[in-house]
Amino acid sequence: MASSSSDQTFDVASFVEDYSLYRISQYVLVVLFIGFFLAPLETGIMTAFKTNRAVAETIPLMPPLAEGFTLDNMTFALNALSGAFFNSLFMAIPATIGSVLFGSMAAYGLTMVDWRGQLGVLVLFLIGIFLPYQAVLVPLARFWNNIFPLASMVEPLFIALPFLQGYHANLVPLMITHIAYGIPICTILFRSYYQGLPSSYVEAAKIDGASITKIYRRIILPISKPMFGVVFIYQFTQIYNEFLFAFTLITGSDTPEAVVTLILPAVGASTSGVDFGIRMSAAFLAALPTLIIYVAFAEQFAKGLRTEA
Amino acid sequence: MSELSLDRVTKVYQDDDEEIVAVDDISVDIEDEEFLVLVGPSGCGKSTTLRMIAGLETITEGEIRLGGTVINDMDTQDRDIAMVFQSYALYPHLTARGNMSFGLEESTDLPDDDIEERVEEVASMMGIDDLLDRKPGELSGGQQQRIALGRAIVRDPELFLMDEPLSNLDAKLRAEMRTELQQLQRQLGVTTIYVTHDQTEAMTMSDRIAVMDQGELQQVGEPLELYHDPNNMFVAGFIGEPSMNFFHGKYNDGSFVGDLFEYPVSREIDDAVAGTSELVLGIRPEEIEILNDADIGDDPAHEYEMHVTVVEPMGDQNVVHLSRPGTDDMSDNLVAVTEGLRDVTEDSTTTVRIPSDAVHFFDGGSGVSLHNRQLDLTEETLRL
Repeated sequence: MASSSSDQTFDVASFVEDYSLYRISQYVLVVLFIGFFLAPLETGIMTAFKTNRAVAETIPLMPPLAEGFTLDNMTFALNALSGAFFNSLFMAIPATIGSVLFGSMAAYGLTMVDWRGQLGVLVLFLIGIFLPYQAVLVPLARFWNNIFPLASMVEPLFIALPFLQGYHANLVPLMITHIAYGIPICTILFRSYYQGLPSSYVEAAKIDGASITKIYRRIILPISKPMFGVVFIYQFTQIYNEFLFAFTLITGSDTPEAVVTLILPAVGASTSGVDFGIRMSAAFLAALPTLIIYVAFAEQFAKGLRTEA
Repeated sequence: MSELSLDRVTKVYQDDDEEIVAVDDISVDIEDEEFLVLVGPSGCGKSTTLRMIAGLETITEGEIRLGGTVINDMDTQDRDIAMVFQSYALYPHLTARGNMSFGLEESTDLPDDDIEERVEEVASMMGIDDLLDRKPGELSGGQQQRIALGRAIVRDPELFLMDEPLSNLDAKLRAEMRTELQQLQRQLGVTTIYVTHDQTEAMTMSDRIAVMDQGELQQVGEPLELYHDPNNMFVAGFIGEPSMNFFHGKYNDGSFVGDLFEYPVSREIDDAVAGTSELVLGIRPEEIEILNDADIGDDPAHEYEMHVTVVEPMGDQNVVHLSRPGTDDMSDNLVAVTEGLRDVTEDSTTTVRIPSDAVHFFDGGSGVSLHNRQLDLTEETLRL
């Protein structure tokens, strides 16, 4: 009896020792990587609050000290970007919701409903993912400007609406383009999720007498909530940060309907050189919406990744 | 409440250039309010048959009629049926109440109050009132099973389809639910088709059993009819636990001659089996008599000395594995069942009798039954 219990103590002790060594090295590694990844962000934020003098004279990583601290850069950047923020969100939020919703519907139709020719349609979606943006820029511009000038069609409506100006109409073609280009990737993401769902949910709902659309709305849509979180974050980040389509469809950074990504390169740049304080402030502000989205959907995101795996 | 007819129903899957016949030419009529159990080993096509009735699989050939109307091309949504799945398939985001009312909301125009009332009514009948506001994730397997059953019952359909609904429950709960399901079905009087691979469920619950193997219907009949009068070796071996013993051999001048023993047959049996070269003798474990010393010699032609290899005591009975002495083969030759208090010791020698009124004979090639045990199976005794 005594010998067996002393054996046990020995085992536990060695186990704890191994365990803690492993843990210590793990934590050291984690801290190193956190430092590595956060250093640029830290530098950026610190620079954003420094006067030009402080930027030139202090180490970038250091926080701004007494007279080196200023909010002027932030205020300037906010003023420069405020219109663009509205434009970006006005375009990106509906485009995200649209592409995610349509993608989920298409995925449902491709995985959980039986009909002929599914494979052909799926192939079209796959091609849609791999189509290079550069290849469609010119046709896209011609389409929205000459063949189907949607912006000028809806402009009178926008003038009549509160909070909106006529020039906001120019964002509508961009929004629709993003929806169209977002649907394939959203469809594929949702498809893999739906393929993992047991088919008996749909079968049970069919037997319960629900139509194809009702099954989607009342069963599949609520069940796929975690996946919506994942795809929503992904798609919002993509659309908000996208430059090429915005650059092609909106005439320039000096127009009132320009989105954040168009204006950002110009903020803080002048013939006399680059004002790093203003640049960093603008970059920080521009990144805020995506950060907020990540935090807001973090739980859903984690849940979605778990269920997908 | 309707009768269901399957008329030469066939299902063929196309796999590249290969045709796989899952269900082969099945015809069976299920009467109004009948409880039919479709039983067979996995992959025999029983679930496919059920799914064709539900409309979840297309029918390659043949006709399915419900209450006289052909439902081959009718959408699942329009067939007035309810189904209980093996996995239950409860909607995970809805409460038990939501799960139960979903079908009524989708398939009827009933106002919300009436739906609520019916759900409550069924819930109290099933004893699940207190579970109604919980989600499936918060319920145990047995509780989920009851909700799934309640979801089917609340619809009040013409036909119940059940796909191995008890297979995910533990043994004790399964036995309870068997009785309860049977009582519910009688009470509701809804025609029911129940798919299972468990012959105990088939025997205990059904009005009639349909045995399937390799996509083909082997036999349809009342439980005792299948037990005593099987059409072929497959049915004889599938129904009954432990399974029937089979011995392969030949017919030789009034006797069955097997590898292990010779069995002289009665005149009546002789007429049935004579002329068949390959024969199979079948005897149910519970019919084998392990003789007391006093009884040895009463029927010397059908008595055999055997070696007891393993005894499995079950309490009410012992399952005794026997082998023929002198054979090197250690595999069991014969399984017998004796009453529980009977003292049979392992590794001893005993004498068994294979009574000639209990033996079955099958054609060794086709497996078709040539002679079944003779019982006075009048309608009355079967009903008991």
